[in-house]
Amino acid sequence: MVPVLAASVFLLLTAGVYLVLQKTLLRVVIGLALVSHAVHLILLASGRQGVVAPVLLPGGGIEGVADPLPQAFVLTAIVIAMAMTIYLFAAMAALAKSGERMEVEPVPDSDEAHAPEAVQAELEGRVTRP
Amino acid sequence: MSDATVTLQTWLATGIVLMPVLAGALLFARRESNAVAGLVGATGSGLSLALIVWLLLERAQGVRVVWEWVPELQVVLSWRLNSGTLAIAALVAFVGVLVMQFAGAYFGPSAKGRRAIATLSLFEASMLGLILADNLFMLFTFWELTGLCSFFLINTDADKRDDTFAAAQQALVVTVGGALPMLLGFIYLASVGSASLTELYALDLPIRAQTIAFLLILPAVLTKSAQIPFHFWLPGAMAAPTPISAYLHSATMVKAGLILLIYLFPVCGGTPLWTLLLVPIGGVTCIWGSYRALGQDDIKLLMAWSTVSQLGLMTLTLGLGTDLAIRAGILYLFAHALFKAGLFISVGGIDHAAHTRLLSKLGGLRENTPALFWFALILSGSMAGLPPFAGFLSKELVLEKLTLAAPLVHDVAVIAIVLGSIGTVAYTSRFFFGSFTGSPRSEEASKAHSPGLGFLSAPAVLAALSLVFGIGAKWIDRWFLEPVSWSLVGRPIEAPHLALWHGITVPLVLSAGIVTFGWFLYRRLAGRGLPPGPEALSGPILFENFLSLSRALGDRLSRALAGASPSVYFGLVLVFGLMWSVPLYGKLGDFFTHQWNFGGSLVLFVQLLAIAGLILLPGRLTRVLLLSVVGFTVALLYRLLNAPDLVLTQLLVEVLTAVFFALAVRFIVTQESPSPIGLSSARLAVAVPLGLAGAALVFALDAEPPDPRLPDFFLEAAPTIAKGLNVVNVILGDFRGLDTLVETVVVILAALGVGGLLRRERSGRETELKGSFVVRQLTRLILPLAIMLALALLLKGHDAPGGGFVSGLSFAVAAILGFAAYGTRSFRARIPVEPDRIAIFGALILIAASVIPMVMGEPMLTHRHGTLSPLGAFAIKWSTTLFFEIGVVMAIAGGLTAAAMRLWEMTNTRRDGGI
Repeated sequence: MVPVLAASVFLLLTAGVYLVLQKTLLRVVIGLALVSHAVHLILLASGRQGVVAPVLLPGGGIEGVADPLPQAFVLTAIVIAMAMTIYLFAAMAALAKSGERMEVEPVPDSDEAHAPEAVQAELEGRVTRP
Repeated sequence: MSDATVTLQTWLATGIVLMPVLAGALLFARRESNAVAGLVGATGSGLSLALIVWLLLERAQGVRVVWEWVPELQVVLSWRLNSGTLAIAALVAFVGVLVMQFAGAYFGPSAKGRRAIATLSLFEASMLGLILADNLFMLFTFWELTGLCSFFLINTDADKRDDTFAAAQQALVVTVGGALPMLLGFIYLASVGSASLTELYALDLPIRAQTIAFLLILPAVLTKSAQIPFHFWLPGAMAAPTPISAYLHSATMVKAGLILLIYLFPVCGGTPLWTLLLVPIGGVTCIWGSYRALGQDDIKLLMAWSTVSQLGLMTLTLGLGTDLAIRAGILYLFAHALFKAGLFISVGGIDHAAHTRLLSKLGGLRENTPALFWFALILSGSMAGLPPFAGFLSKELVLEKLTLAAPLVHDVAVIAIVLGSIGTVAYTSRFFFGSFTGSPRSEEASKAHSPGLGFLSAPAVLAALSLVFGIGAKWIDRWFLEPVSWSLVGRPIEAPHLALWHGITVPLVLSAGIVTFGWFLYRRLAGRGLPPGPEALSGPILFENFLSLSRALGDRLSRALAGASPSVYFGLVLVFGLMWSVPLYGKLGDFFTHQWNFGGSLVLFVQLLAIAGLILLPGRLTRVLLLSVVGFTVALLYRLLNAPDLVLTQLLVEVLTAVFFALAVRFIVTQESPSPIGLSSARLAVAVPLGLAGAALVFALDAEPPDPRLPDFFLEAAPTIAKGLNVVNVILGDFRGLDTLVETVVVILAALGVGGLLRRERSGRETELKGSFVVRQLTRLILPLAIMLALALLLKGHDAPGGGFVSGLSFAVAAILGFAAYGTRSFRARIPVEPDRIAIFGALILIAASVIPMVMGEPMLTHRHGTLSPLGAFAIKWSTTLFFEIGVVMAIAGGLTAAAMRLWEMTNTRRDGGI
């Protein structure tokens, strides 16, 4: 099972990072989802592999039972990753509603915009960026 | 030696450094001390000198620890006392007395002079600390303090000239910057040996360590002692008033590099690079300094370039790297300090008398300043290396050392020294005859008056010493050079006796030749200047270019990064993270040693297709759909890994994610281009190595099996202590309840965050969107089943797959189905409480489940278990973890439903708005 796991981690992580490095928000969110899949599989790989699920039979032994601890970790991690994805979907919807572009936008490149005085002025709320 | 003596000596040594500090502090504090500033400074130095002499007479020897500052890092304030260090300190304090006295006369009663002398005193203290420190880190601290003080000192005349700041900055950047690698070198020495010089002397470091330490420390030596290519700050520093140049640039600061070389010789003198680097650098500096000194019109600049040349000569001598060479270098160091300090002060006297320092305007000063003429004659004679002065003695010793052995490097050294010395004779003649003989070349020079006693006493003393040094060669050897050089090198040195007359020897012949050729050169040049060399190679211009280049580079870098998109930043972070993973890649070879799993490879194949489609296929919805497919393949992998709870969770999560996407899709896809994402090589270059690192990590984790005690504990304790058979759920609900509590809170926060992002907008329309008739009828059928299933997952979770998280997700799916079919309004009417309230109530249950056991005196989140058998017929297992699980279910189901309803209502209003 280990080579399959490793190959899958490779696929998910490569595609995930590739998408996270894209410019539009939807691709980044999909990329994050793929990266979290990969991380969950790595977490599982850190535990002892077993031939039986950690749901015991009454009176049964613990021989060959899979490591339950990483599974518990991954279970919560899946739910949290989902919560994050949902939050990002909502954030994208809110952005779209307010008419903003949903690109992971570059910082505007003009001398005035990131001269120290301009940044300071912005921090003090004296000037608002167009 | 008694303890009392050691304590006394510790205090005496500390006093050496403290006296000038006290003098400086006094001058800074008392504004009315303007008139006596020179006296106060000289007294401070004099007290230091007295303490040094006391310790010399006591024959103090060894390390005196004052203060264990940071012993863990080997930072200790301690003094290294022996006749060598004390003699160098004595030189610094002695010249200090003379210079302070001179400075008092030079500045007159003025606030500027008082401040300058105060700073000069602090500088002297740092210099003395540098000389006496045993601990390398303290030495470094004092070293940097001298650089800092020199910055303020060079800047003294900032009110009169506008070039002082640039000169001061140049000196500071060059010397302090050069010292930074030295700190690394010291840290290295401390890690392979010791931070104490004395302890290092007792060790015999391997050549490799010696070489590393030497290379790291070398820049500090070259910058501080003004060696090519770092020499240019020294002539620049002539912007300082003369007393300051006389002190910093003769006896003290510029000697720090040489002193460090002498100190380090026993530690890393064994490396071949010692000679290979120091001799050529010193030789070039020696020749170039002489050449430039010949071309100067300003006699102060002439002295500065002469100092550069002689520092080169000393570096070369020390670079020969034998005990005898070190001995010669030490003698030259003292002789040079005496005549160069005296000459700088004489220059100050000439400037004061004739109001000019330019050779083109001076001349004939002998008439009006006879005393200065005689002193300058002796000092110049010493500099030119004429008998019977100190300079002759030391130059003879250097040449003698060179002619004793004759490998190639020594031939090179001899040529450099001879050339440099010929120049020295010539420029010394230019200075001396140009200033004092002939007829005055300007009105100021003809009206020159003899400077007062304050200007004459220091040159008098130094000239006398230069004379005594030469004539008393025999005693100097016995009482001074022998103890000093032996204690600095750390062993006795077999050397021929020092004498003015050895008979006709090779060095004597060389000396005679040097003087003859030097005189000839002076006559030929006859006051004409020399070209300063190509401008592109001039130090200040190179330094300016270096500064503006580094500024431009920094500017360009920040511009490039400031304009970049976040993905570039993120990519950079990942690339740096990647470096950490390089050692892992070796594990990838395990791919071929493992057995291949057939079922797994089928799943993998589907996953590959889905991911390829995700990137290569057009269409926005396709992407999200394929993301779900990937999720299902991951769920299948969980199945193959024997994790049934994860399968359940993953499937439900995929459903929910798809639902939420569907709810927000109208907003989400508007800005996403439907054309394929496609491949870009830059992104792949970051992504592929990271993916490989992840795969390698899997193999690495597999190669090191985990400690079996942890899983075995949970597997054994779950049925016995927590009375549950589904170990994963027992961990979540019982053993690691606190984690679950916190994670549930995260989900609630995300759900509430969705509510915060999307403000509720109620439409005025009476009808609202809901499912069609068929959907409603189907829902009527499915909904009770879904709720039953969710309940079953909750109740059975302790022993079978299921549990709080899974059940909560199922309830959320059921609820979403409900309001989608009947509309949110009628859905709200049918449920007793708003979903977000349910979520908060669930959180309260979780908190209660944690707190109640604490009130009852048990640890947080303790649970009780038992079996109930009403009527004796059934056996129902009960456990308080159920309450905890119910809390989880309410929080998750409530939170997710609330978020979904908010999105649903927003979507509807938009539709009502008629878009």
